[in-house]
Amino acid sequence: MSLGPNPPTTLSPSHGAPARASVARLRPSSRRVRAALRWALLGLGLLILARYLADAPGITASSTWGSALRLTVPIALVAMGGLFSERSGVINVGLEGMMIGGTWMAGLFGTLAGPWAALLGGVVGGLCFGVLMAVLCIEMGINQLIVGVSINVIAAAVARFMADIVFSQMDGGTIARSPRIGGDVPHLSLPVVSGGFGTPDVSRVMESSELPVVAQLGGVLGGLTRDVSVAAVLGLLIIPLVAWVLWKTPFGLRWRAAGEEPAALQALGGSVHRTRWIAVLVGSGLAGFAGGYLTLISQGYIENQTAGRGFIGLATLIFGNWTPSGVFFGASLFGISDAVGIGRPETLRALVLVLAVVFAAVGVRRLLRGTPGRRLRDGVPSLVLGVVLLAVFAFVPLPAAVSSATPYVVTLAVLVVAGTRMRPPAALGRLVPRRTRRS
Amino acid sequence: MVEHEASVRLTGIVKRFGTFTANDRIDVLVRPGTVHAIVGENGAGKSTLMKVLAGEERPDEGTVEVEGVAHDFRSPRQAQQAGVGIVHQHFLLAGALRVWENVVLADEPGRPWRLDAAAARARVTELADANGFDVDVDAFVSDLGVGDRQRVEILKVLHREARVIILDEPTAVLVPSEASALFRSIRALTARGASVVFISHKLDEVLAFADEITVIRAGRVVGRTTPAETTPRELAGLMVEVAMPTVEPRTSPPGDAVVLSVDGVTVGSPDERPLLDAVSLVVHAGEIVGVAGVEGNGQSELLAALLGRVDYDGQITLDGQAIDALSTRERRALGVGYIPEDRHRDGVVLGFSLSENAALGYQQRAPIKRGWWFDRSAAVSTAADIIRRFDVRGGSPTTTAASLSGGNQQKFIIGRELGSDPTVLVAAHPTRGVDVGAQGAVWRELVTARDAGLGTLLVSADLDELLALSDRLLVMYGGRVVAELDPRSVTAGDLGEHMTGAHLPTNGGRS
Amino acid sequence: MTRRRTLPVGLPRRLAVTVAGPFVSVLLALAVTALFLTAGGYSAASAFSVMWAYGVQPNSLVSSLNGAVPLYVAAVAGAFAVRMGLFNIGVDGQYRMAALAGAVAAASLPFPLAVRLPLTLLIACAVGAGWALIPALLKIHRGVNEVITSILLNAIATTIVAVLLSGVFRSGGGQNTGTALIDDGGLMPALPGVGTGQGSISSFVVVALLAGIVYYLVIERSVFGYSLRVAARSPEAAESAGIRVDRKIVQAMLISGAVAGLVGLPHILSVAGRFDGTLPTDLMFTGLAATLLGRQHPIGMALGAFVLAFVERSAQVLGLVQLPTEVGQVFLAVVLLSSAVGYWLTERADARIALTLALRRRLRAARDAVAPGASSTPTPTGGASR
Repeated sequence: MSLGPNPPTTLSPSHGAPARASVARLRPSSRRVRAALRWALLGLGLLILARYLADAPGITASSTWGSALRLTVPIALVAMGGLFSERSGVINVGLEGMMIGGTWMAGLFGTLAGPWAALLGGVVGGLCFGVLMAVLCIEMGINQLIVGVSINVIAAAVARFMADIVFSQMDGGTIARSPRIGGDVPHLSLPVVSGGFGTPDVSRVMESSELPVVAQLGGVLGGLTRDVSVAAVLGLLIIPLVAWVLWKTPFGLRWRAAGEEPAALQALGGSVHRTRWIAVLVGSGLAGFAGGYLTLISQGYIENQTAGRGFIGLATLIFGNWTPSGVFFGASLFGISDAVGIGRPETLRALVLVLAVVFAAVGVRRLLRGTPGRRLRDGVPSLVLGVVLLAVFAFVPLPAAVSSATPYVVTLAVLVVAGTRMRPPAALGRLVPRRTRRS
Repeated sequence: MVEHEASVRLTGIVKRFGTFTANDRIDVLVRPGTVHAIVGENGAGKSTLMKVLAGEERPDEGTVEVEGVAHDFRSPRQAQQAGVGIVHQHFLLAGALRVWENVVLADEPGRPWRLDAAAARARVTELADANGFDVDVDAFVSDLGVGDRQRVEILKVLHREARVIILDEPTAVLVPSEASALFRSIRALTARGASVVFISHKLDEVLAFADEITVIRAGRVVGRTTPAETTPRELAGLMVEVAMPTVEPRTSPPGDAVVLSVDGVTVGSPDERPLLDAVSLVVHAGEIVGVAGVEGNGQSELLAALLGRVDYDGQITLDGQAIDALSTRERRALGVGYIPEDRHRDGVVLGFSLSENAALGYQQRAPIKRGWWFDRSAAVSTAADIIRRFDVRGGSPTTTAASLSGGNQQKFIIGRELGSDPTVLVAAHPTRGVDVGAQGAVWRELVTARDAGLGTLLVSADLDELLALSDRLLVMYGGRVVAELDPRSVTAGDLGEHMTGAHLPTNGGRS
Repeated sequence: MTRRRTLPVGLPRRLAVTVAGPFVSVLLALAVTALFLTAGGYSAASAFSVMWAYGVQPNSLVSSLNGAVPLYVAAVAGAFAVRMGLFNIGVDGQYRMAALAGAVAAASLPFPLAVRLPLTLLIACAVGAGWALIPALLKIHRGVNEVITSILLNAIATTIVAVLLSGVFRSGGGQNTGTALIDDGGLMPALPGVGTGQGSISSFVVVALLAGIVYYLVIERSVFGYSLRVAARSPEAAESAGIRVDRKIVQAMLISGAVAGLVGLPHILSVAGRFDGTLPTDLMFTGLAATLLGRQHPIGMALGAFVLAFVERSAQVLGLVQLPTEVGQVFLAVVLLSSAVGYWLTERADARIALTLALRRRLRAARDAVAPGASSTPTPTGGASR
């Protein structure tokens, strides 16, 4: 819906200036890679600062960063699933349901044939709902929001019903969980850095040294590279793969065109329907894979184990501005805040400090160097949020129970700050009727 | 290449949509290396015919032959493979994609796992250079102006090596200088053996550039001719059944009271060139002030400022009262009648009944508003009143606006706005997209209201309309009012020069 | 040329389509549920017959009616947003926040029932509206889709409610996990004269009825509702007519949230007597199904809510006859989707009928005019091209 808050842009017949800045940001470049490196260093510095200011060793501990990685992967995957669907112009609110389908099928396949089959099962489970969504949204043109929401509800209900029928009858299974999956996919560590393949574990030595900077670097590095599941590696590899397909292949071009101006693709003889079908199916497969990954971590299907990750993935997709790199950044942010949330209260405080500094910095930067004419609009919310968080850090004791909301609050905060700069695919939600087949 | 007698031969094309027959046994023959114009009024079936040729619609009957081979196109792709390419009137370009990406879309060089971007860019650059198109192939289409977008569309067709190029109303969105550049490139294309079919209802450009002309009316071919053999008057007579409506010269002079005054109104963000630049004008009671100009020169912004839909600097007074601080709702309540630019977007709610549409814009006033309540019977009687007084055909208060024809929708809107006794009427393109009969009716209503003392600001792209109705004619260019002309004495050439800002020669005169 | 008389032909057909929509939807959901039952190795027919037999007992009917009340209120809350073209998926968080506030208010306000009860309802409405204001403001000021923010806010509401419950409003210590019990001066009385005990009908039926009437009057009969509908259908036309679309968004979300605030109260004030872990969590989605099933029509939604509550209630019996009670949940989930699909099917059928009729009329007209011409054979296979 184009209920723009400022009428002038909706009035002007040309698609002029407002879209320009954001369009240019749709493509990554090597400059962005360098920038990412710079930001990573800056971030590390900030973390070290927070660790000492909040007296929270947890924020740089390898355990925190290990679980941050584990928690990032499913979000990143499910958000990539959403990216597939939405880049082709189909709103996907049903990610959560597809993920639930993935966890259920992964539980079944895993119980029957082991961990690798569980991952495959996840994909199959996601695909079941992907087909449903494709038929209803692409072929029948039913409201995509309604279909998405329905898929979430149906998946939850059907998973429980089928679990009662299937898992309850199995040895060790109940209506709320499948029997335990025997074994796991291999786990890897980097050689030398984190002691993979029998080499010495440098990062562990660094972390236990308790030297400033060295210990923190060792903690973060070790957490990210030690004992990483092959499933996680697979999941992370999918992100550059998606980026490649999106930006560098003929299918990627058609895929983007289907989401931007389907009529153009159609007029040139490309098939919008086929492109959207592929995108929705691959997307649902990825969401299911994310479910399968969760099932592997918990070594079996557990009811409600997705815990709203599909929705978080959707939010991640938005503030990642529908680009793979942005989505990865958002998913990491979520993974980190989730990992911090399950840690000790002072770790949460350290995170609040980090966020406060980031938001305040972004706010100041926008106020000073933002797009002319919208500096106040863009900068003030961010700055205010930063100051509020700083106040929270300094004065408000955070009860432990609050931490379960951390990822949601962080996601919401980022959406608030980033909101107006987002540029969804132009044809998102637009139905393309099939050419009438006559005579 | 073997020379064929005809590069395109359409025989007995019939295309129906439900109960409506858009094309009724149409025959067209296009010779190689020629420019073939298909002319006709809006809704005559030109676009449908071209969609059939381009493989976008399948004809119910009839055959399509391209270069001697009969085809049954099931998709645009098959038509492209046969060498037929179409440039639509509404550009089909993805703004977030680059120029070269738009051009090679669905026909990309490279492998399935890797699009050869370098080859694609080289190819598009080469095509652009060969045809004298000065387009940055790496630019995002959303950054391009209309003329450049059209060039991108033509590049798309050329990339697919089309030998028959269809242009659907190519000049509708172009300023005259861009239009002449377009026709120069068309000539370059035909010189190399391609044939060009272009659709138009602008007779001057058809006569200036076409080699052959086919006239279509109501889905049938009513004439075939060449520019040498015909006159604009004859062509116009073929295109429309009814003669162009005329307006009697006015007998009484306009009043002296200023009902609307706009003083130095500027719209735009501070760091950019203003979209509307210090525009001043007055409208007297009983006067129609015309605003001419190529679209996109500030007219939309002027309308928005008058209605209070954008922030502006400057002053607007209505009947002596400053209204700058007032909201749209309050301005409407003070008597600003408004016939919007795009009636489907702004003027009616298509899914609503006519009674509900009769209340649109008047929902905060008696008799529609009664306390908190929306008075349905008042809405029904208002709608019935409009339908009767303004001869809106095909509707009753309970039918939806969508079921009316475009002309009747427009009559309904005009009736609604005039029926409320406005102080001033702001009318934008009141006869756009309506048939000749409805056009005459709309003009009569505007003239009647004028004679009753209503001041009207008429913004239109139709010069005939402006010349027929206006008492004074203002020309807008680049957000400014650049000229005030007397519609009784101005020449088309003179007007065209003002409209294009530069003193460029215009494309032939209107008769 | 004779003008087509669309009115007399169109009206009964439109009525038929309106009735057929929900009918087809429910049938479709039943069929899908039956499919699942059969796939699970159960007899769908026996399950349905057991459910029906149990559902139509007077006790069950009363229970269904009580169960339909929160669903109907949730449906009305959703419909206010849908009429503005919004999707208020935050009803979930809104009703839980409001239910907690309502439970605390009802238990602690020192007033007699006649004052305390309306105050409780008002407070719940205010809390619901306040929670709904956040996505509305974010939408108009930051351009963030209300669906996403509402989903996040639902999760955040869960945490807030949990924190407030355990940290602030928990009554007593030890095992107690609820707010203080509400005394009779704060509970919603049963409707007098209709049975007692388990079989009584809650006076919330009256509240739901009022909500429905208010909904009808506001949306269909008020200038405000008219403006809302214009803004939803055509934002541009609305702005030209002097209707501020962003204001309408905020107002619609506020009303929707206020009504949503009432959704949890029947449970608090008539069933549990306090806020605790027993508050149902699926009221929003089932309510949304009622919104869709009833096509935002006040009476249609009431029927929809009753059907859904009936299924929910009658599915409870399945456990006694060794059938999975989750069937009810499956049905409720499927009906959400099938209510969209059902309307799609009936509308398509309607369009096809319209086309066939039009073609037949044209043929007849051609025959009457004795114009042999091209006797075109209509091919209605493609459906109406839109």
